[in-house]
Amino acid sequence: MADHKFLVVDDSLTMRRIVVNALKSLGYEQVVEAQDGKDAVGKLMTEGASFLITDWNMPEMNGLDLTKWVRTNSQFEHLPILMITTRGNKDDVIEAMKARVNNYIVKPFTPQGLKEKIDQILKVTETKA
Amino acid sequence: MKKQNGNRLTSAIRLDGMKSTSLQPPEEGDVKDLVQLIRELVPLLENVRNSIEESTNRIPRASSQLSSVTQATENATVEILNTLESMTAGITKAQQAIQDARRSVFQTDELVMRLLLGLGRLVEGAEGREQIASAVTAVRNRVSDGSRNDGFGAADQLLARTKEESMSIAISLQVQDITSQQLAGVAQIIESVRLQLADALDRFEGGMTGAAPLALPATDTTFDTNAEYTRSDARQNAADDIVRQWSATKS
Repeated sequence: MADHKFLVVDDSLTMRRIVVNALKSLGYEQVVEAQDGKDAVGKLMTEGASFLITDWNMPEMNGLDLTKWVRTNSQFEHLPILMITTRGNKDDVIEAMKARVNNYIVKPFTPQGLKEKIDQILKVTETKA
Repeated sequence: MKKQNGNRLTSAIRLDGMKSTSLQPPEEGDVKDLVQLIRELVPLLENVRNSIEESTNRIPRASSQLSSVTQATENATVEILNTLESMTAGITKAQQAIQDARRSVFQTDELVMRLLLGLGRLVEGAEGREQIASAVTAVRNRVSDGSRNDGFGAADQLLARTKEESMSIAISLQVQDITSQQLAGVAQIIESVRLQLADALDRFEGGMTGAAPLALPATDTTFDTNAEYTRSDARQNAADDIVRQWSATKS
């Protein structure tokens, strides 16, 4: 558990703080933050991460474009991605799945819901690895 | 030229008002009516123009106020989060202190029990041993009494519950992000109304003809106008169903 390094991407400072706190309460101490997709790309390149949690609606580069960038980059193409967003329409979820996010949370999230999704993703990705 | 315009207008009035399809030459009464109508219309249109101008000028202030509200609520939310984090850190320290105290008491109890055992052996056969043995038993009973550990356990449980509650408050603060997206959506609607009013004002001042159609700004994608704060699981369950179906087709 403690080995994972999370990159939390959200343009809302409030949301970043809440997600980071929730991760820490779940025992994940290594967390890096980015305020949009472009910032996240920079952080991935310089600091790396083993798990990406991203919002959708953001300036500069949104979460969907960030996901597409990650999936087309050979260095990060298998990086687990969890999208946490207010967008809960069917079409939005399908679009995110097409972009190859691993799972999807509709805001507001609960720590229990976050834990379930992280565990599900890690179970699948670690089995494949 | 003016007369021709008058003809067209009179005919138009007749077409609209009387459903007449024939073009009649204007009569003197018609022209007088038209002039009177225009006289009445001019101040009315001037009032409309002034109202539009006033509304257009007020809108940027409304947008700026919305932006200030968003900023103020974000600042307040971050302050609350800071306090909650500080509380949580304090609770964690208190839990640690309780654990340390519990360990220390346990170790002390072991030492006291060992001492009492030795003391019991020493006083065997000594004068007044019953009183000493009775005192030793009382101390042993006190040491082995579980109520002190119950106290630690209760304090620990209380702290754990307080920690959970502070996390629950933090989670509820997601409402700030969600409402700020809703406010951004409202600000965008206000801005598009302002642009339309400004366009109408331009048309008043520059004439009705030849003006290019109004181009509204593209929808901002940095926020979700459909964002909603709800404790219902319905939206998450629907998303989970789609994810499950999608994953099943891909595996």
